[in-house]
Amino acid sequence: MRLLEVVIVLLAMIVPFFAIKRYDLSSYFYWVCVTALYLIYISARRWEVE
Amino acid sequence: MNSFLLLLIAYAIVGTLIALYARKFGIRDDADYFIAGRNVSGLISALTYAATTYSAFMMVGLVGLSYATGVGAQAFELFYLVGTLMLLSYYAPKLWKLSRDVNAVSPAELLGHRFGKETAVAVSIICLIALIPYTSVQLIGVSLILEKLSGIDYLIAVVISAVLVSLWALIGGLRGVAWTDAVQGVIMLTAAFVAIFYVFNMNPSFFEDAPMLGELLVVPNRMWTPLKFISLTVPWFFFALTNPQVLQRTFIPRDGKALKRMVVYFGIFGLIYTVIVTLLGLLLKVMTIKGIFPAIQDRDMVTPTLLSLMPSHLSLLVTLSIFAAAITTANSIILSLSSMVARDIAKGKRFVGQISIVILTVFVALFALMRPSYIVELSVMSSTLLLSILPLLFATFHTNYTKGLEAVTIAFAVAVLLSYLKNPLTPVITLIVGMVVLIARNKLCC
Repeated sequence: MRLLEVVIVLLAMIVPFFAIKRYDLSSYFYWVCVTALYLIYISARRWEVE
Repeated sequence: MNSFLLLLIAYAIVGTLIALYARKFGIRDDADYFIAGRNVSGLISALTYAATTYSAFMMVGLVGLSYATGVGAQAFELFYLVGTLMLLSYYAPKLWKLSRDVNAVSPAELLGHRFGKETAVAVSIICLIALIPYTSVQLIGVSLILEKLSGIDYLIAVVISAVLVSLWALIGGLRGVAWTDAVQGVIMLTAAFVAIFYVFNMNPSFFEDAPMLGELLVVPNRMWTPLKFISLTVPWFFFALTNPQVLQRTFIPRDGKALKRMVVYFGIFGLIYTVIVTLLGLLLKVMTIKGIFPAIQDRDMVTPTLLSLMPSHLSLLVTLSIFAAAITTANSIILSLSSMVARDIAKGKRFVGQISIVILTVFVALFALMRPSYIVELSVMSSTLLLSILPLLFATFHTNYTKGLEAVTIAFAVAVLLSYLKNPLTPVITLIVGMVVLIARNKLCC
């Protein structure tokens, strides 16, 4: 597992704890977007069994 | 006979027919029985992975948690999903290849190949201790639903649920479980869509009304402190590697392409399911604030209250999906545990595994009947206790260590002790202790 990948994804996931303080669904949609983008990334990336 | 009982009978018949059909593919050896001959398609692998992972907690527990604590509940569940995707995209290919190279059928066997048979036995026992109470809680939930909706006695409800849990595994092994899981996974997702559309129609202005939720829309807040978030998230983050019933599913795809499809399709399922379930909780909370849904104090009663307000046909479908979620989780755990009993404890005797399906189900049912006060606590501890296995798994792929018995047993003892003391840092300390003992035993001792 690339350490950089882990760090970037985890940092992206904790952003709302520090930077999103809006009283709307911003944090909610932010997490959905980060998860969806990561899912797209792993599906596009070449795996060692391919 | 009431509608739910009729639906349940239809569900039981269809599931049994699927399991019988799965059996026609032949069960020649342990690999055929416990991991479907390592020959499952990507889509079926993904659906059985999803149905096994997502228990009744999603439609009952997570809806209530979102209702009571807001977006932090969604963060908790998506941290789990991202962690799973991260771990699977890296470790699933390695696990898949290694399980074939060493002909491992059970997860403990995979570790035993590196760390020895005694370690495999210890890992199997830890899994049994951690997962029997957890499975009993699934059975209790299912039996309570059955009792409430069909009017039958709780004792009979437990017996029916226990038969459903063990029957499909006994008939068709993992292929039977995987195919019935796939159908039930579709039911779970369909019911979630039905529920969200119904609730959204009750309050179409949700997105404009959302600011009414106030502090429930930001983290950290009073409910989601950083410490609480870490203590809840860490065990679930590593769920894909620590829980045998899902770890074993990395052995089953027929080829590398199917393995990748399993992970990606599971990710899509998980994201959609999590979004729907957490949105449901937030929608209902807004409706409570607006006075169009009752205020619920006990968060586990949010979904039952919603079900009581829905039209009966929709309510039946959602209830069946909760029932299916619990059954799929429970039978996958029982089958995985029985594979460890057969391969690691009884040393390769499949009939012992089949007998152990029955014995384990009886144990689970007895726990469900006695309902001891500590069972929920034990169930909550399960993922934390299973963290004691994680250092061995990491060491399998990143080191040449061969001594793991001390690390897994000491980490397990620490996890039990700290969980009993309700230390919020138990997951983190368990991992650290396991790692330190593993390194010390392999590097410092002879």
